[in-house]
Amino acid sequence: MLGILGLVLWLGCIICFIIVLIKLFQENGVLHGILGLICGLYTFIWGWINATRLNIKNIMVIWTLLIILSIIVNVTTGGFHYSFGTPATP
Amino acid sequence: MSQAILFRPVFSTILRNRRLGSAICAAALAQLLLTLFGLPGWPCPIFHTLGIPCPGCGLTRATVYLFHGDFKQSLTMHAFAPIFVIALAVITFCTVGPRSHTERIAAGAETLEHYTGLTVLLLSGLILYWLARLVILQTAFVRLIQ
Repeated sequence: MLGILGLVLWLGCIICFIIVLIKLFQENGVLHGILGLICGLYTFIWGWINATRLNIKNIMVIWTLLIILSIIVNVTTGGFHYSFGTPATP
Repeated sequence: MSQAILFRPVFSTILRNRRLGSAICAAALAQLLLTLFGLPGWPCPIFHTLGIPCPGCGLTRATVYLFHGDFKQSLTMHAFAPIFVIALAVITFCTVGPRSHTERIAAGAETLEHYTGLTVLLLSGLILYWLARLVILQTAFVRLIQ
């Protein structure tokens, strides 16, 4: 059940990400857009900085809440695990 | 794609925008610290939804390895970590440094980007590197990022 909830939350996250990414492409051009696609955190920061100007404050609030909820669900279900220190080898 | 788009400065615009620079530095620092202590940081929306690592996945851990002096593990995790560290250092300097220095560095970066297309080259290299890992070493790549 929590797994499905987690997936739904992630889907919400990716929808918000795509909306902000489209804005980034439109406002700053292709290269900034590609940078935003590669680094989701850059898109998130850019979205918050320009939220009022672009009228996407609601989307940013929803995206932030979805990320927080996703992390909580992920940690609760044991989905989060970093292999830092003992990385898997090919 | 026209030459104007390919050679349009990207990094210099980030360097000139102190507000964006401060936010990037703060977020990067928070992300590095969270990763260092094994806590959940910024989750990649692409990886968590589609199960496919994005081109930037593993970059934070690679950077932490680099700070630990473990170059081999850092390059195994993500080969672009040294470039990322240099870019982050320049952004940090331009954010906290005097405005005259910032403008000089940003102008230099703009000239470099305009005449060499360095940003396009790096972004293309990153995408090619990601595609190669995804196509040739898919299972190992996903396991490494998890």
